[in-house]
Amino acid sequence: MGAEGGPKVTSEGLGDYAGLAGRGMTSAIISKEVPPLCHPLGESNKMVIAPGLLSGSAAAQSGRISVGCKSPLTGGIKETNSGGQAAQVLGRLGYAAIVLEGKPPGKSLHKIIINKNGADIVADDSLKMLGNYALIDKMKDEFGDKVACISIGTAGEMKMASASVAFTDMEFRPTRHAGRGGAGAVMGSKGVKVIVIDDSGMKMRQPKDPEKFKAANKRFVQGLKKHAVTGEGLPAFGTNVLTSIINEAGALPTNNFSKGRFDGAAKISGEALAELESSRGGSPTHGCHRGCVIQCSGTFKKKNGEFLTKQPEYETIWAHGANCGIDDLDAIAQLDRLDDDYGIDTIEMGATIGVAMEAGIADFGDADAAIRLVNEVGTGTPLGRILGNGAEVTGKVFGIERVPTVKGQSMPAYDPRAVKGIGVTYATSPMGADHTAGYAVTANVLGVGGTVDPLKTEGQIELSRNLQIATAAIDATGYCLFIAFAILDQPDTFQDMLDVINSFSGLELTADDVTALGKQILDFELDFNRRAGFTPKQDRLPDYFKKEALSPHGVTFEVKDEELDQVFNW
Amino acid sequence: MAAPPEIIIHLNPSDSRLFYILLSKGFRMAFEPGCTIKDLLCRQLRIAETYVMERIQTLFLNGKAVDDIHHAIVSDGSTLALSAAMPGLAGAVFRSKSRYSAMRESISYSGPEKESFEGVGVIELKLFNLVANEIGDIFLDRGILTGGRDICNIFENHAVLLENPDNIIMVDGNQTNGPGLLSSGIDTQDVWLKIPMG
Repeated sequence: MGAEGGPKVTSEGLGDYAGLAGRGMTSAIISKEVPPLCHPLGESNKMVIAPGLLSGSAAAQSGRISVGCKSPLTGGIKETNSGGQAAQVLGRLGYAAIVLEGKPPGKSLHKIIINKNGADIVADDSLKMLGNYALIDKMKDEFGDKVACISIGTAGEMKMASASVAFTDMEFRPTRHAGRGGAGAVMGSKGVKVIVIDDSGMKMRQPKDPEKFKAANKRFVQGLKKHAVTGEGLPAFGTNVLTSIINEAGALPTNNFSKGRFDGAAKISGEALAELESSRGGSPTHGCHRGCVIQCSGTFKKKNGEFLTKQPEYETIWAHGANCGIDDLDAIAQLDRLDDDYGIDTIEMGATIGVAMEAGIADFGDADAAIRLVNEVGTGTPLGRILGNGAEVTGKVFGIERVPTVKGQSMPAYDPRAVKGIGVTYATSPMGADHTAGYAVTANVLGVGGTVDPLKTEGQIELSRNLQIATAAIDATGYCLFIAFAILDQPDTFQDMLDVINSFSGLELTADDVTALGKQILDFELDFNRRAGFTPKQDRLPDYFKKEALSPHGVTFEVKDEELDQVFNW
Repeated sequence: MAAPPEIIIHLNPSDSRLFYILLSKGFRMAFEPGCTIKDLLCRQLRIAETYVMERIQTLFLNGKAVDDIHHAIVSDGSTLALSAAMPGLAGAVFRSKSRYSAMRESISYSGPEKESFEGVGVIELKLFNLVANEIGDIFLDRGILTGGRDICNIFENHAVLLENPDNIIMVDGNQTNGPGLLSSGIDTQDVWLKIPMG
């Protein structure tokens, strides 16, 4: 973007990056090509957008896309991923990655158009300070709605550390986000407002062994559909099916992580949300990309029947709900819409407002105030610029100790005192506090490296390690992480997944290869963070989690520092 | 103390789902305390054993995740929450007999909180997600003790209940309608609610 004479497009072969995709591609490039001590908003940082290994093919559930950079929020390496249509479209165009480099000298904004003829970079200041919804409407007028768009909202333009990167869904709405870590700010620092990807004239990517691929894909889909989680629970209730469970467990962070149960949980539960959506003509069953058979998303309509936003995910229901003491689904849906429109990480925003409420900027439970604060972020008021840079900055400005972050990134919707194993992942993941970093699992992977004794604390370390390895590998394939439960329970379904990958790519991956891939990706990330100055001291939860007991169970985070330092001991 | 009012509602079977929110919020029933969860569910509540073993994958007893329903003991005043299998890491962690149970070991059920169990007790049951959808009607048919205010909220938010003249609503044996139910004074007390199946 900073080439002499104006932004320039170049196209390169894969070279050393052959065989990598998704998180494997983004972490390899960032680790090898970005100076770890560079400023995240400077010319030396890069933003890598990479679809998965199978994206653009007929493989079910393969529509995830990864975004990598040095994070303005954590200062370390970042991979954040999203659903939506972009992975499939970019895959069909035959690109393994888009890499934004350099920094334009002026303040112009650009749109990048990629189609079968190549790529063009066009200055377009008429897009300045448009929210994602208005921006996408403009793109629809110019390009139609069969393209896919990758964009930033006003938060990204203002380079806020909580800025997300938005991806259009099947209805051409900017509802899917690579939210974590401020990748949207990096895109903004490169002067790129939107990337329009058009696969007109391109065909689906073809597998190396079509017969085997078709059979394995069919079996894989059957495995997903017959499982109670992927075939019934998620389609019926979406991810918010978790609110009732996590609340019952006393692990639902409430009022800025001060309690583990929220009195209003039933009003914002998955059960309540599904019922409300259905009664208004929305749907709790909807896919975020073509090829999705789990259909965990949905549509939320206002009381008058107009579309408002996608079905809020569990993390949004928690962040803008329980964590802020808000039990009004309409208010939470409005906050979800604003997050999407301004392009803000919903988790970071909800955690930040929780800290702001603790600081007395608003009262816990005041939904109108929460909406006002998010509008301040999106419009860039002085207070908005503080909040838009995340919970840690907000906590510093207002003198708050109780800030739930690791490596500068806010914790998601599981209190680590109640679920210590998740706390281990929060502490040690190279991404900062992240629940999806140790999220996926395979029965075979967990068999590798020996058995785990559930009575010992070491069990938590082993589990976190293995889960982080498996997740890194799954993130490289482009598969949606929600396949995890089906492949855990049904070894055949895990094998079917491997068969799909192998028959498509011509590889002969085994479960051990999956482990090796996951470790390789983590090695890239850990190495980058070390060179960026991270030490084991950053692999810790905030001190108050060790001292402040969480109700209702009265638990603290007791995993020792020495044990945390063993997570990546291969 | 006066017995709670009894509300019986005969309605379109497909509308019973509007009351499932009461099941997930929690309702009370009488039971024989000192039993195992298995005994409670299969013998006392008469839920089919295959359903219990295959569909109810996540259980909490007084907020603690349960791994062994054959040995977990239910005391008077307990809260038992039942759920189908849940997604993601959290779902895997909280699942009964999970290999990831170590990750939540400090909030796992480890033994009864009381030693003596006599007579008849009261349990609060919570049915979540698919479990509410699949066996909720059985409990509504038998009758549940729940908050009158919560029933009023359901009627206020659903015109199909409030205004449908075909619904038959009985309050302590006296027939009324939707608006009549709302003004009957149940909003300040607990009530016995029955929604007969069929």
